[in-house]
Amino acid sequence: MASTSAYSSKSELSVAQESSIDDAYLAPEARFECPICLAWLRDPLLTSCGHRFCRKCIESWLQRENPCCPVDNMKLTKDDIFPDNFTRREINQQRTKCPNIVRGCLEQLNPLDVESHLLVCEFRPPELPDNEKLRCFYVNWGCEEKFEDEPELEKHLEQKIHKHLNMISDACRKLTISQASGSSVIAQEANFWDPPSKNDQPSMSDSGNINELLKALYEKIVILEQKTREQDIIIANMTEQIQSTTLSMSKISLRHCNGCYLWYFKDFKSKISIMRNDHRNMYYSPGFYTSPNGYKLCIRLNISPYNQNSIAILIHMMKSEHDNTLDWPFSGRLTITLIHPVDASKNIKETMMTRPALDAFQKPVQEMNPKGFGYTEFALIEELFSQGYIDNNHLVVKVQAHPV
Amino acid sequence: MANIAAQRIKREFKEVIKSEEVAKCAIRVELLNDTFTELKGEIAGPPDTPYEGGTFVLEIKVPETYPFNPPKVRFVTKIWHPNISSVTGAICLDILKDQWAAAMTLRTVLLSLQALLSAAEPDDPQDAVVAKQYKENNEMFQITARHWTNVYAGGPNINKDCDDKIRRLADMGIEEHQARVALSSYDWELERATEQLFS
Repeated sequence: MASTSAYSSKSELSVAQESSIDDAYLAPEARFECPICLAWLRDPLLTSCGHRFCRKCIESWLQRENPCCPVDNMKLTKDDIFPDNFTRREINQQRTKCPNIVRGCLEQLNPLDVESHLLVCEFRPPELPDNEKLRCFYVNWGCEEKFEDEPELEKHLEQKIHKHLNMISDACRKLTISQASGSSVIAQEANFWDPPSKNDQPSMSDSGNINELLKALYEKIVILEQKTREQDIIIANMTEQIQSTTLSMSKISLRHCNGCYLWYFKDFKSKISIMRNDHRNMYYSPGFYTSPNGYKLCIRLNISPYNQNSIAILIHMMKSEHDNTLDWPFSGRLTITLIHPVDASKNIKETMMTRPALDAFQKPVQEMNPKGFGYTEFALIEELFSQGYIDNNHLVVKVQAHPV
Repeated sequence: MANIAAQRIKREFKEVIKSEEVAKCAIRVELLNDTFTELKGEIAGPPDTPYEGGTFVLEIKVPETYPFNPPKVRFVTKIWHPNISSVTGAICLDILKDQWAAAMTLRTVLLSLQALLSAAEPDDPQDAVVAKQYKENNEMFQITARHWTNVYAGGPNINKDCDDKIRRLADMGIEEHQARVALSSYDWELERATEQLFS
């Protein structure tokens, strides 16, 4: 460190000056420090007993009775003090960095000008009346957020870990750069508000602190990443659960629709064109029940094999787990309604009675009776479009099935 | 508070925190307010004295004119010492009065107080009763100071004899500290102490 005397050899002197650029503001060397204010000597005076003081400091001190030297108690009169222009020049040659270097100020200052510079430094932290709001703990790293109360601050600290880490790593990079440019006194800049250290120890412990801080933060990241992964798994499980619940919900609603089922036939246009391409393409609705333990049916929609311009809507009996408890063939009333989305009077409604002789109403042997019952030419496709049955590319088909 | 006083205390405070003496637990300072005007000091009783093993708490008040005037310091922990009032804790030490020098710091003040515990100045007393005992019956002084250190400063040396005598007085309805002061002042002679207390 820069403790060499003014009479040291040339190379030593240059070392002394170089390092004082970095830490001069923090810790004036003993020969530049006023023993009264403990700051840089301002307008230095030298006593006959060989001690230096700021002019203001020693003059205030000597106003007392029996004036003496504050350091060694030697009697002092005005005649025993002289301006120390040598030291004044030495101090004027010193350069120190602005304490706001961590925020980006690159000014090189005379140590005596630091205080006045800090008042006008464009990188100074924004002023804040005391006790008005809480500052983020990372304010020294550049986080400017303020809070009304502690819980808010804690919430912020929890949520912005990533942001704070970025700030620290930025500051760290800056410090590394300034280290590369020739000085070993990195961390002192981060620790600007510390008092001058009298015994001039290099600040290894400070850079150790930063390393420790980084280490702690990295550990926190690992923990948080693990937590995120755990949460992802939990979310995936829940999503699955929600899906299966939705599925069973829809099953329940199909079972409990009491034979009145609304089929939202979505994506009508593309389905029509698929069916036009190949008449064997047909669409089936999910199976629904006439009562919770009743008959199971579904709706079929396809393009009429006899008339390409019509759609066919038929009803198929489906196999259900309690078919054995029911009377076969199914007998009842079936109503098919094509719902007009705006004008209920345009609904196309057809009611039909079952015919016990038909295969369609026999107890299903397969999953679904291959034969259905309904209208092979229920409506003209052209009309569905032109009369406005297709709303939002949906066609709504309502089927009511009531056993009699 | 004058800027220079606050600035200096700020710097000194950090200096004390980093000092060797703090590392050895010999001294300690603590800030009591944001304006750096009130601090709490602690010094360890020096070895080979009756104060060994005790911790003594100090009240430190920094005047606006600091460092041109000394800080006001007094013992909060009760102590039996010729230069410290056993009643108020006021300290008679030249550097806290006319011998103050602006180059002195909190650290040097605390170290001077520690030195005062090692080397009393009975000819410049703050507490005349203690000083008299110190000069005329030093053995009794040592016992008393050690007992006070044990009771008030957490020192390790329990004096059963002293404790018994205090209990005797306490049984008569005398408050414990009052009993201790009376006994200490009369070289632990129960009769004279009782006489003084009930006169």
